Amino acid sequence: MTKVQYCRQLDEILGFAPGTIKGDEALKDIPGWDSLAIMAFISMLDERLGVMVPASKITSCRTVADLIALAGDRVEQ
Amino acid sequence: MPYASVCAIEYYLPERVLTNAHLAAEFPDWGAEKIAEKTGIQIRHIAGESEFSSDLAARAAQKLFASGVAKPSEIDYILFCTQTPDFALPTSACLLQHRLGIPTSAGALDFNLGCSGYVYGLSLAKGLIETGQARNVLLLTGETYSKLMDPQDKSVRTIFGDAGAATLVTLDERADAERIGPFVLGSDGAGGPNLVCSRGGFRGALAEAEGRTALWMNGPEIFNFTLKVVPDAVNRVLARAGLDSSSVDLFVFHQANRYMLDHLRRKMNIPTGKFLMALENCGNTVSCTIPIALAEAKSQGRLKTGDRVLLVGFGVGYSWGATLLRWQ
Repeated sequence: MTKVQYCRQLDEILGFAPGTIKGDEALKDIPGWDSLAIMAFISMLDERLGVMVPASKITSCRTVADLIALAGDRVEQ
Repeated sequence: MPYASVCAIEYYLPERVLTNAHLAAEFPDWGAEKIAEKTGIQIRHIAGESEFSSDLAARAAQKLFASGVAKPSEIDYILFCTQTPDFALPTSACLLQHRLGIPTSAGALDFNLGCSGYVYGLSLAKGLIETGQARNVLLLTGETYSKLMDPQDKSVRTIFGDAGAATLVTLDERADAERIGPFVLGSDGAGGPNLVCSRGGFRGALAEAEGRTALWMNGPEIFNFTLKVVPDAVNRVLARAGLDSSSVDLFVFHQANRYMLDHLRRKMNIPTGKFLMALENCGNTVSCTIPIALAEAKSQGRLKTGDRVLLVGFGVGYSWGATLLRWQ
């Protein structure tokens, strides 16, 4: 998966138009990045990338870039 | 050899309701449509101030007796699953024995489990019956998580509802094959702090939840836990039964929330027609979700005699259990 595709997945999770998330946003500034969005993010990681990440690592992320880094080599950085 | 068999299921939901519109009015940034879409829940039923777990279980049991399937005098064991008993003592199941007019010769005990409780209850009932200790077990579940919540915690108020359920598990001397089982059970106390409430206990707040005594749930960690444990439990119970998933007529998972259930269904390639969703009108009622779902499936005509039904309960503890029923 490319970084752009990963951001599109985040757009879908957050209900944004495709292309809204650019990859450098602070999570605290994103409306709707809440516990339901985190559940959808965990679902996406599992279903699309076969990756399971401890919830503590997700909640310690501060930016979208941090979320991208969670996917490791499954996403072209 | 006679086998234990699930004979009848009834449930009861308290009258007071909490709708998505109510929640959206209390939490303006938590839209009603978003709640419904993500959770699959429209309504939760909430016990009244003077209404407790044993009341909900008793109402379900009274419905069961009123259906004519059994009389209180025929019950020789009561199992009551709850995490919100009426009192630390006496045992709520003993109070239910008296209230329901069940003979004093009956055994009665409470057991404390949440989302896995119904499967564990079936395992206990089967054990009692097939070892000759009982013939007619009244398996009751009753839960009032609403009494444990912080009113400001929208995440748990959105998900959980209160309910009671009653299942009659009986000795069927005509059965020529196992009707309940095999079982796959599991526990992992390392996950304990991720769904916790120190109210009603004696130790006080768990270290990780210091200062937090109301019901608290780490939803993302619980989700990770279910992704790890549920597919494995399903595969192992099928392997123990010598079956594959195509032999199962209906999958009834603990009704945690629709998002999680949808994901598990897709992950495990279960056809939608074989996967039951029954939380829209009651939410996550903890140990009552599976019996409520089974009762709903029966009333909708989705179950017929001989159907193989796979049950999985999973959650608080962590605790999990999977089993197969041969529906009668």
